[in-house]
Amino acid sequence: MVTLAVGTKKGAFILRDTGTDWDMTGPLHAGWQVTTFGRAPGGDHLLATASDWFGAAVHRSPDLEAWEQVVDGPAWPDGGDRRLQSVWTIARSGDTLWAGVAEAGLFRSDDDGASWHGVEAFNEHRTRGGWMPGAGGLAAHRVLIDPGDPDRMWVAVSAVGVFHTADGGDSWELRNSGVIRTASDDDDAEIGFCVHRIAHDPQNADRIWRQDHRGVYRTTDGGAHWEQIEEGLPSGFGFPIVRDNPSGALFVAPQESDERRMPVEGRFRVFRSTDDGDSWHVSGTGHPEEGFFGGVLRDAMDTDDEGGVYLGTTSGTVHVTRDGGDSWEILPHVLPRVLSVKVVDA
Amino acid sequence: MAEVTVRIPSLLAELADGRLEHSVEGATVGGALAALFERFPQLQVHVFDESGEVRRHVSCFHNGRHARSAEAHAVRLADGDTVTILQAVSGG
Repeated sequence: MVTLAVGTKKGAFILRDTGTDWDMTGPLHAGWQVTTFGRAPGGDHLLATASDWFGAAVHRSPDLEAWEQVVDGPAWPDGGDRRLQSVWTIARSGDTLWAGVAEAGLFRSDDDGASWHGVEAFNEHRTRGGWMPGAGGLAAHRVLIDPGDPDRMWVAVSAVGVFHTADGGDSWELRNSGVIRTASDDDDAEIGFCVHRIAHDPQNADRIWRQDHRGVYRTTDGGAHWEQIEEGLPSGFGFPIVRDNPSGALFVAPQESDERRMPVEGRFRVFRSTDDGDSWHVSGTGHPEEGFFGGVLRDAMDTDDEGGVYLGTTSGTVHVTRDGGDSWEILPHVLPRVLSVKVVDA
Repeated sequence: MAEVTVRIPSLLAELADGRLEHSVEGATVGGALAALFERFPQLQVHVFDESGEVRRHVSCFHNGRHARSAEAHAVRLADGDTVTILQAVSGG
C-alpha cells in the first residue's frame, strides 16, 4: 500500500492508502513549512522545515512519527552573507545524501545525514556572482544522479540553469544550450535560465526532461543540447515534470502563463506524454475541469514506479492516479498549500 | 550565576521537550540563551542567523525590555529574571 508524505505551508501530513480509503495523520511540525522529504541510507525518513521567522532545518525519523532535528544540518558559514532559507530537495546515491537549498547551494552528507557540508566547487562556481533569483527565490531545487555512474549528476538552480558534474561534484559546467533564457540582460548569456524541474530516465540518465519557465524541453545527450517539446500543451509554463519510469510516461501540470500562474481558463488538467515528449494529451479523466484555480508547485508531484502519480495543489487538494494517468481521483482532505509530495512507501 | 526563566515561542517548543518555559542559570542574557542552547542545541539556528545576530523577525526581551543587540545580551541577570524569545508580529 502506498504511503504519501505531503509537505504544506503549515506542516506535513502522512496519507496511507488502506485499499478502500486514505488514512491521514498530521499535521507534523504544525506551523512550519515542510518543503521536501528524503530517505537516509540507514532507512530514516528525512524532512525539511522552513519558517519566515526561524529559518530552516532537516529532521529525521525512523517511523514518520517521532522526529528529531539534525543539529549539524546544511548551513552556510557563520559570519557570511548567505542565509539558509529552505531545503528544497534531498537526494541519495549510495551512502551519500545531497541537499539542494536556498539561498542556492549544494550540501552533502556522508554519515547517514548526521552532518552536512557544502560542495565548494558548486557553491563557489565561477558564475556565482551573476546568479539571480526567480520568483521563488534563488534555489538549488533538484538533484538527479545517474544510477549507473553516481559521479554524474545534474543540479537545477532557479534562475540560473542546469549544472552537470562528471566527477562527483569536484567540477561543474552549465548545460542549457537550446533553452530560452529568462534573464533579459546580455551580460552573462551562460546563466539566467529559470529551470523549474528536471526528470530523467534512470536507465539512460542522459535522457532528461525539463519543465522550464520558458517551456518544456528534453535532451538526449545529458543536457549538451535541449529541444522544446510542447505539441499538444495548452501552455509551456508550469512547475513539475515527472516520469513514470516503467512505462516512460511523462506528466506535467501546465499553467496559463508566468504572469497569471493558474490553470488555463480555470480548467485544472494534468497532461501526459507517452512518446517521450513528442506529443502531449490530457491525462485521462477525473480532473476538476472547471472552476479550479490551484496550481502544482515543482516538488509537489511524485510517482511510485507502479503507475501511480500523486500531486498536491496550491489549493490544498491531493490528486491521485493508480493506472498510469488514465483516471484520477481527488482525495477528500483539503490541506494547506501543498509544497511537496513524496511517495515514501509503495 | 542567576536562576532565570527563558520563554520560547510555541513553534520552537517542539524542539525543547514541548515546553514554553525553561529554568536555566546564566550571568547575562547571552549566557542564559547559551545555557538553553546547550540543553537544546537544535534551538540555536532558529534564534540566531548566520551573522550571529538574532533573526530579523525574532525578538528578544529581558524582563519585558527589548534585548536584541550584543550590548543587551551582555546585561547581567538577577535571580528571577525572565528572558523571552518572541516570534515577531510581521507580515499580514
